[in-house]
Amino acid sequence: MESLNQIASTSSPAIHFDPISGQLMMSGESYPENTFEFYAPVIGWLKEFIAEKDIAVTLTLELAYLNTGSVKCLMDIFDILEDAYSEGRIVTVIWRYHAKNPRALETAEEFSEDLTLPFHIEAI
Amino acid sequence: MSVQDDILPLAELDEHYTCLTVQYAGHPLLAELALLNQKYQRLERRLNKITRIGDLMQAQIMELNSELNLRANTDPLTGLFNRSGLYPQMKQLAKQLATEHQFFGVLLLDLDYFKEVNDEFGHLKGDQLLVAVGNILQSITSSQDVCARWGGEEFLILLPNCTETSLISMADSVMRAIRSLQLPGAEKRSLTVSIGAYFCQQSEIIDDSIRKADLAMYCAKAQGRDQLVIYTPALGETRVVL
Repeated sequence: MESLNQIASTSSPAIHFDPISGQLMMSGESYPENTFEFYAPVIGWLKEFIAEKDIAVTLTLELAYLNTGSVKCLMDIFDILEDAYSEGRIVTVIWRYHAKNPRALETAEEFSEDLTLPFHIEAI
Repeated sequence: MSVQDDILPLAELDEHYTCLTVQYAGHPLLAELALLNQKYQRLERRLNKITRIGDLMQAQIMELNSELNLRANTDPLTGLFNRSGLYPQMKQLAKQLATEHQFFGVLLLDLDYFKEVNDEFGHLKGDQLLVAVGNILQSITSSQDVCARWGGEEFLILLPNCTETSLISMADSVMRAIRSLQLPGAEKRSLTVSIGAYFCQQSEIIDDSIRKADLAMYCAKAQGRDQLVIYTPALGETRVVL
């Protein structure tokens, strides 16, 4: 299985998903022109990775802005990870946000509210 | 089979008398309905969450817009309005003056020998001087006055509802405060300002008033600096006051 890498643009985040280490990273801003088209391969990759690999997963996010489509896609990603976690996989989410932006903290808290997997919110 | 026949009215209360079992073509629908209800509630929760996060993002955009607006309209060094920030203030002031028939005054300030300060002590010291002048203007003007960095070492004060006496008094306060400024590391350097003033007693475009104050300020420079010159509208001439 190959790693998934996307360079950040002004409207889409950088993505580095490594199937060997299980380290998945997304950073930047997310308001692509076609959100679902942008996230379809990301979600597809994640589903395949969860099905094929049986290693610990850490998703690190540093997302300053999300449009509503991206929020929905991110919730889909969390659902996949939550399912994997409930089946015994070691899963961690790290949400990094700029300390000067209190909205980003509230956003992280909203996302983590319904999840049982370890969700760490870190100020940078 | 009609719809009425399709959903059989076999209402059976369960043993706890809390649950109605409805059969559809012989199959129980209760479990299906419960599942659908669960799915609906989950979707509703997700929709609410997306909406809440969307609202947070919207608030974030609004805050960033307001910060951007502030940065676009404020001189970062002195914290005063820059020219682009001044124009909306002028527009608002013009509207106020027109409705309230107020007089207003304009002071246009230009620091004397500012280039020499920069050359002798460096641009950092020059920036400190500009900051100090900005602080002086903010401290001696009232909240209804409008202060701006007009450009370079030029500053502008618009004084609504003022008299000629209060305009001169304000200019005097500014000149005294700048003369007494002590720049750390440049204490021996005498600091002065040339001021052009225009007192408007009738409805007039503020831009024109600033141009007249500017002309008076250039007269102050030409006549030896460190002085206030008031533009006299009747003669189209200027007179030295301080």
